Parts: sequence; C-alpha cells; structure tokens
Amino acid sequence: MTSNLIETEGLTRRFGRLSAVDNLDLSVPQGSVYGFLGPNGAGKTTTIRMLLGLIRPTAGCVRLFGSPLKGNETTVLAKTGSLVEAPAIYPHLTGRENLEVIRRLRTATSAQVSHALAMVGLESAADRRAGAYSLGMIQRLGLAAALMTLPQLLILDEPTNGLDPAGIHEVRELIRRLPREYGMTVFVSSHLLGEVEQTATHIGIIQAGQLIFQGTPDGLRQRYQDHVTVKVDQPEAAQQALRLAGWQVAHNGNHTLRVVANGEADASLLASQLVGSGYSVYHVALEQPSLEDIFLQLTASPAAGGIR
Amino acid sequence: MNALGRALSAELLKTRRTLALLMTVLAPLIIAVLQFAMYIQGSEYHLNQVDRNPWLSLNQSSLIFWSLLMMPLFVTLETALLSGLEYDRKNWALLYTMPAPRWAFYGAKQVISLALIGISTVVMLGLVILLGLILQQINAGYGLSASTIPWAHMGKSYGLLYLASFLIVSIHLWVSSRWPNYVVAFGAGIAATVTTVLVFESEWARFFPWSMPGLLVLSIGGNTDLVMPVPLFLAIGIGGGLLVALLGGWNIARRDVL
Repeated sequence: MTSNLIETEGLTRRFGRLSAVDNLDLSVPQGSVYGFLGPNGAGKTTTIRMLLGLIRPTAGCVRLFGSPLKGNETTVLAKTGSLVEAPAIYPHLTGRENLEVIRRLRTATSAQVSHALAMVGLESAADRRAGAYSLGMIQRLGLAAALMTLPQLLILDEPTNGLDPAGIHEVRELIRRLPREYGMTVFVSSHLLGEVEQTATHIGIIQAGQLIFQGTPDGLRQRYQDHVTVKVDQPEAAQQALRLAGWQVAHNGNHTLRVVANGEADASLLASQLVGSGYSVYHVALEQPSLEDIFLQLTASPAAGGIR
Repeated sequence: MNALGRALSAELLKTRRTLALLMTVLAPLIIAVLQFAMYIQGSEYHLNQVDRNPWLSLNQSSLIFWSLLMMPLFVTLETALLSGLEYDRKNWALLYTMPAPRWAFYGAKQVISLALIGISTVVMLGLVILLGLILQQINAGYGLSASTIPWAHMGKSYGLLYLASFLIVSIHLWVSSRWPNYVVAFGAGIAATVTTVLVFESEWARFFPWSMPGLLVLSIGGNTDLVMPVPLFLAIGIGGGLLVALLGGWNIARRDVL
C-alpha cells in the first residue's frame, strides 16, 4: 500500500534562464482528488508533463506509485490515465475509432471502449468523425481516452476547458465519483479555485513555478484568519487601546481599523471592548475570506512568495 | 516486440481514410498516365521495335520516371502525412503517455512508411503491365503482348528499386518527425529532388541518397558508366536506411514533448 501515489522531490525545470518549475515537492495521497491550482503560466502544465515523463526535469525526481518514474515509465504509465492540455485526437477517425487507437495501445477490451463512451456521454456521437466534434465533445473524448482502462491514477490538465456549464458540472461530478466508485486518485489542474473547490480533498497552489501551499482546503482556510473591520471616531487611540488588549490591529486610513479575529465571538468581544472604553463604534463587519479570495490573494502578485 | 506490434496495429488504424493511403495508388497512376501519353504521342518511335523486347523499354522508362521524379516527392509526402497525424494536434504527447517504449511508435511509423512505399511500388508494377496491355489493344505494333512479358526481370527491377529506397524513406521520416512543420518536410523533399536532377550525371550522384534508386535503375538497364554494383547499392540503401532509422528513432524518442 503506497500512501502517496505522486511524490516529487526538488522537481525543477528551467528553459534557458526561466525556471518554469522551481524545487517542487508534491505529495498526492492515494484516493484523493488533488486540485493543482495556479494562474496561467504558473508552471502547472510543465509539472504535469514532467509527471508523465513527457519532458525531463532539470533537477529533482518524480515518484509514482512509490517507484521512480525514470526507468519505470511503461509500468507506471500502464496504471495512469491522462489528459494534457487540448485532447489529442485524430480528426479523420470517428470517436470510437479514436478510442480504438488507445485500446490497441493499452490492450484494453472493446467493452471498455463502450464503457468509456458511456461515462462521458458520447455514445450517440461515437460513430461520427471526431473532426466534426465541438470543443466540448473533443474534451469528453479526451476524458474517455484517459478513463478507458479505469486507471489507478488519473492526471487531468484543465479538463473543463471548452465545456459549457452543464458539461463542467458533469465533469465535476465524474471527478467526485471516481475515487469512491473506482478507487482512483485524481490529480486535476486548474487556474480556477472555484472549479476544484467542490471536488478536491487536497490542494496544491503553484505560483511562478513554486509551490506556495499544499494541504487540505480546511488547512488553507485556517492559515488565512478572519478579519473584523471596525469604524470608530478616534481610530489612533482605539488602535492603541486594542493593541494593549492583545489584538493585532492595522489602521487602514480614515476611521477604519482592521483587526485579526477568529469568528463571530471575537467580533462581538471586540465591539464590546471598544464601546466599553468609550469609543463610538459605527460599523463592525466580520470578513471571512472564501477559498477563492485566498487563492486570488496568494496568486495576485508574482512576488507573493507564499502565505504571509 | 509486443509493443511494436501494438503500435503498428494502432498506426494501421490511423491511416484509415487518409491521403497517405490514397496516394499509394494516385502517385503511380500519374506516372502511368504520363507514360501512356508519351507512347501515344511518340508512337512512331515506339511502334514496330525489333531490336529489343518492347516490355523492357516500357519498364525502363517507367522506372526512370518513378525513381527520379516521383519517388523522392512521394516519399516526402507519405512520411510528412504520417508524421503530420501526430503533430497536427500535438498527438505525440498522447502516444508517449501510453505504456510502451517511445521507440515503438517511431518504429511503427518506419514500418508503415516502408509498407506504403512498397504498396505503391507493386501498384506501379501492376500499372505498367496494364498500360502495356492497353497499348497492345490500341495498336498491336507496340509489340506488348501478354505472352512476352518479362515477369522475372520486371519483378526484380521493382524489388531492387524498393530496397534501394529504404535510405531516403528513413531520412524523410526523421526530417518530418523532427520538425513539426510541413514546410520543412516538403522543402527538404523538393530540394532533394531538384538536386537529384542536377547531380544525376555527375560523379557525385552515387553518393547522393536520392539519386541512388535512379542509378540502380540504370545499373539494371545495363548502363555501368556512372553506377556501382547492385549489391553495393543495396548495402548502402538497406544498411544506410536501417542506420538512419535507428538514429532517427533514438533522436525522436529522446526529445521532450513540449
């Protein structure tokens, strides 16, 4: 039993002077849905290509299923399904024939081809040429190819690209079902936290090639504390009083103070203390950042460098 | 070898409904039509030949056109189309995430390329015979009766020509796989064909891979001024083809798929 299906150690890829991926230590637990997040150009696809052996790391190593990828590619890739960037298709072949190409390479069965088509809802269009497919249908075909053999590990690079809202919902549901129904571990990249927030059991955030967070969604929330915004008549004096009382306070200009707090109880206590000390309080608001807010803050600036 | 078999099976399916498959018939047909036009146009020259079996003349001129003009361009087209199946939609990434060694995919392309060239060679041979029989029906003075077909000679000459083409097939497959761009592939093929025509009668022609099939044809026809012994042609064609295929496969398999 392997606890982590994907592990990387100091994984680095440089293109000339540019470090596309810099010293990445990923740990993807077995049975998890791991959301690999980052803005465009952060290094997600380069990382995925290294995980699949498509490009060689400049430094560091990749371990899949507990074995180094290098030297074990055939064994490891037999247990891995993937969809990298735009799905690879042969437009002159039908959808079913495209999957037949994969079937022959993976020595799967015809029943698995039909099952994969059914999983992504492409049965009715299976005998049409893939060149006439819409972007969403091509994406589904790519997913079917990745899922055909029900691999132990599924690596998906932005799988909802080109899908309409209904398609996005279906893919999300599919990803959620895979670990439960088939025991798969899913590694899915996206530049939108909202997209993986509902499915991911684990999250890794990459920014400018560096991993700036790795853990559970709850872990991410806990590392970003709530804030209370308070408007008072004497902000400088109120700030001083709160600091003496042990609060972490920032004066945001005008009459606004920003206080680090922990939930509604803290907000209530804070307001009571200020009023009790004789200050006029005319606005109290508890701000609990969503994961999306946290992600945007983390990845807003290239110089972000991690959680502060 | 199991991996090569699986890659071959997939590669075979991929050729379905492709121009590459259609061209195995169209390319020889173009030469056959050209030959037909020339025999009709130059009937005074071709009719009532007595010094030589007319089938040998028809065979030799068809071989010259095929080996010097059509084959280099045809090989360029076929290998570019086969490689294009992968780089048109960046499908190398798909292949390389399959549980098979990378060399198997390049090896399968090499085998399919050789098979397509082989099919077209057989079609060319068949069309030359059909052309002769049609000309005979039009005018018996051509002397191309079925009873005088030199089967062994014609079969041998096309067989040897095919074997001598291995080297250029390997070179063009590598070029078209290495540079994912039709312009590079076709540019190389056109440049090679033009150079073949320019150097064909020079001392250097025997060292130019694209002129070797044509020189082999001259050699088969008895012209020994410019040519090397047939076994040497075959050694360079097959041995060189195998060497370039191995080096090409090694090079392509080592490349990052960006």
